[in-house]
Amino acid sequence: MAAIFFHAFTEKTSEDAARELSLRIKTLCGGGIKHLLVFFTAHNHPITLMQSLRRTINPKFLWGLEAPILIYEDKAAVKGVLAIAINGEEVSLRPVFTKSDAWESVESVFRKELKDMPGEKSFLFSSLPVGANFANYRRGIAMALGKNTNVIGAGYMKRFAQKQYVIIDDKVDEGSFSLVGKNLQLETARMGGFVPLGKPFVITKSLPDHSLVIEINNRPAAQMYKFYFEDKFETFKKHRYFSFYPIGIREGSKLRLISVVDTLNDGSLVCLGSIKEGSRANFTILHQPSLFQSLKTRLEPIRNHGEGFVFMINSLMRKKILMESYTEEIRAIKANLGDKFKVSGIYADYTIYPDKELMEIGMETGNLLVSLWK
Amino acid sequence: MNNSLFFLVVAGLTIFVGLGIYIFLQYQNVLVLKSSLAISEKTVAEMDNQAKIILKSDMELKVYQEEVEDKLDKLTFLKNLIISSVTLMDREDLYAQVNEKVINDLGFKKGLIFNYDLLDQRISIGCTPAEETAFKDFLLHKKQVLTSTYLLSYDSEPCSKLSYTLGFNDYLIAPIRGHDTVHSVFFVGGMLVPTPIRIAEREIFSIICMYLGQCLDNIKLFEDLYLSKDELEKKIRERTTELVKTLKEMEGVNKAKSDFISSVSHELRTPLTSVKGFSSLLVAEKFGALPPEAKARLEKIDQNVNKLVEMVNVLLDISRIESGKTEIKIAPADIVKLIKDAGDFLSPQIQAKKITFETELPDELVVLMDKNLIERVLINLINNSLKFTPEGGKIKIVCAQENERAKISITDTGCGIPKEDMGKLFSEFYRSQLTKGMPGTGLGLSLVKRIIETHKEKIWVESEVGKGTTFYFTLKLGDKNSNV
Repeated sequence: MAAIFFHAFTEKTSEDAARELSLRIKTLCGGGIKHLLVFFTAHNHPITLMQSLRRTINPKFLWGLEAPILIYEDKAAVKGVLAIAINGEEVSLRPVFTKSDAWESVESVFRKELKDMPGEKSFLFSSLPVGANFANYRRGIAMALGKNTNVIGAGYMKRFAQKQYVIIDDKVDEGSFSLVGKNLQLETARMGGFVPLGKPFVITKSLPDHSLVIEINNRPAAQMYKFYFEDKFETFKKHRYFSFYPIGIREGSKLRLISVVDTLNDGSLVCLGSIKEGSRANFTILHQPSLFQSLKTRLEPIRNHGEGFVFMINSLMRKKILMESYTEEIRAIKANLGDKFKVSGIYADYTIYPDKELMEIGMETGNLLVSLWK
Repeated sequence: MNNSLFFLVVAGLTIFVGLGIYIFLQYQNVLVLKSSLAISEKTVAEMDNQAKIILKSDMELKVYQEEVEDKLDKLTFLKNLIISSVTLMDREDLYAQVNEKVINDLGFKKGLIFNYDLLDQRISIGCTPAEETAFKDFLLHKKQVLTSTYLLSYDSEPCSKLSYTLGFNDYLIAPIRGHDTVHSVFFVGGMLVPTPIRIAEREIFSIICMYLGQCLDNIKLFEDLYLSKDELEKKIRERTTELVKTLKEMEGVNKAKSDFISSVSHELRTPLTSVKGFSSLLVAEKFGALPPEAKARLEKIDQNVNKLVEMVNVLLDISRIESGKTEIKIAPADIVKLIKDAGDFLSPQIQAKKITFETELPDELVVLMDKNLIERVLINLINNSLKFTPEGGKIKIVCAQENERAKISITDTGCGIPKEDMGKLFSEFYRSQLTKGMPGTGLGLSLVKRIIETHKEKIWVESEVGKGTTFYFTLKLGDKNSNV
């Protein structure tokens, strides 16, 4: 039996939220719930929420993740709880939890947790908390599950709350949370809207494993910003606007966006994502008309399925750039997909996605990741 | 041979010309390519220029947007802080509002509040013990500065040493100042975003400190008020106890007085009845004719005995009413008829004094009353007016319905009552200076008051010396067909 998805959202929190979600989910699916994945904002008390969900919905497996903003259909909500119920006899999901200080052992943790789950794992959803080491995560996943793992994920760079909580069955903890699935397929699409500006430049010296770009066009990398911002460079630096103009690396027809987090004294750029030496790149800027124009084309592979469950991971940086109109994007996506698609999602600082062209796990900030779960 | 040579020359020439043409064409191509390259470079340079303009404009727009957003955030923060603290009336609760979130919303990581006078620490958020000590040392030596300044930062002269001790200079210090005192000193430091402190942060910090100062002033006022209220309540309690005690004593005295009057009246009544009987018989010469002088004296005795009997009767009535011994039969009855009857009853005296007697009465007005007692009230009051109204004067009785009551007034054009006498008017045996020489016992109005109070109604008086007096009393309206 294929996977069946139900989803519900409430602006209420903790105990009230659990009661309302229970009513909604039970009305939708009628019977018992096998897997329940909840996303909740910092307004909720995680232990109360977990206990209430256990009492009301009582799914066989319960997992939860704190997120700054939730997406439900055509709305983005800064407060509430989003519940996704996944049923289906053949669907098997397994949680893997990694403590924040155990980035060196991602591979062994995954191998240990999945040793009694043989066969191909076709689905991986991960959440990387503040301080997560993406390079270690990628290496660990590649070694444990393979380079081509179909993965989507949400990563957090700075704390949006005091602590980012994770619910795993009957425990509440902090750390990295992943869901590995069998007989559950993922199809992804990345929504851009960023357009390259100016003359392409070449990354002449970088340390990809450390996400560091040292030189661009054989000069200290930060000089490139100085070239473009000229007399406004100091203002640019003072306000730390690097993330507004990510570095775009052309990969086929798409742009992989690498956000710059900071500059070092020697002019190197600390990035969120790695760039190999010799890559040709541009600074990019979000162009709203291009974003809305490209929606139809980008969503076509998903829309072709006719119906299904769509999970989005949107970028907090994108929200910052779009400001008040950030909800328009969500509305436009829902309108484009139509009523036959159930749309849910969360916001994150960066997204993890399967880079099919480079045959590896990609990471970027700025683009919106749309995934169809089937 | 010649032919071969000729062909060789022609071929050589052809090749030479061809090469020349080729070189020329290549040269032309190079020129075209160079020109294209120049154009391309120019285009790319133009693209870069365009990119520069776009990036710079976009960034400037973002700066403005962020500033607006920042200001809105700060206003929201200020609003929330005011909402959460405006009703607080306790210092500890107010200081507790300054939590980590408030410090973060102000844009900082660390916060400290010290009391100004004692230099004891109120709040410490995110500060190390070394930083707390450094700030306390600063206050020990420089706190006087804060009485005359609103804001200090690293570039203020008194702070030069503090920056060195703290090891950072992104901090602000401001006094939390009230109307006439500095309550405490607020320190925030360590910007959340490593940017220089902007005017916005300085302004909002100053506003918060001023606001906290006002709140502390309000709390102080409230505390003072509370203390004085407490003191006042204590005094009221003491006075109330004293009053209750005095009241009890008064009640005791009053009861003793009533008992005394009652017993004395009873004791007097029997011999008086006997005296009255004999004096009447003597005056009527039932025991034989009397000499004219003796008869005249006996008549005086008889008149005074009559007065004494009346006084004793009134005293007995008052004490009966007070002790609840009088049976009061309150029932619906027409007050208008009662007023007319009382007027008729006293008409001989009215006519004798040539007094104009006017009434303003409805046809009928049913009230709840003890007819006999109210009749006594009316006769007493009209009699009273008669006594003090000179010949040719006027007495007017008005009866009207007011809400659920009947209001009856008896107005005369008599001598009036002085203001200082008004309060004692209904006391027993009280007689005004103006009534000296006029007949009366000083018990009539006292009886009237007790009768009206027995009906749980009001009686009051309005008067002006030389113009006249009006007595008012009320009675509850009744239903003719109902029994009470």
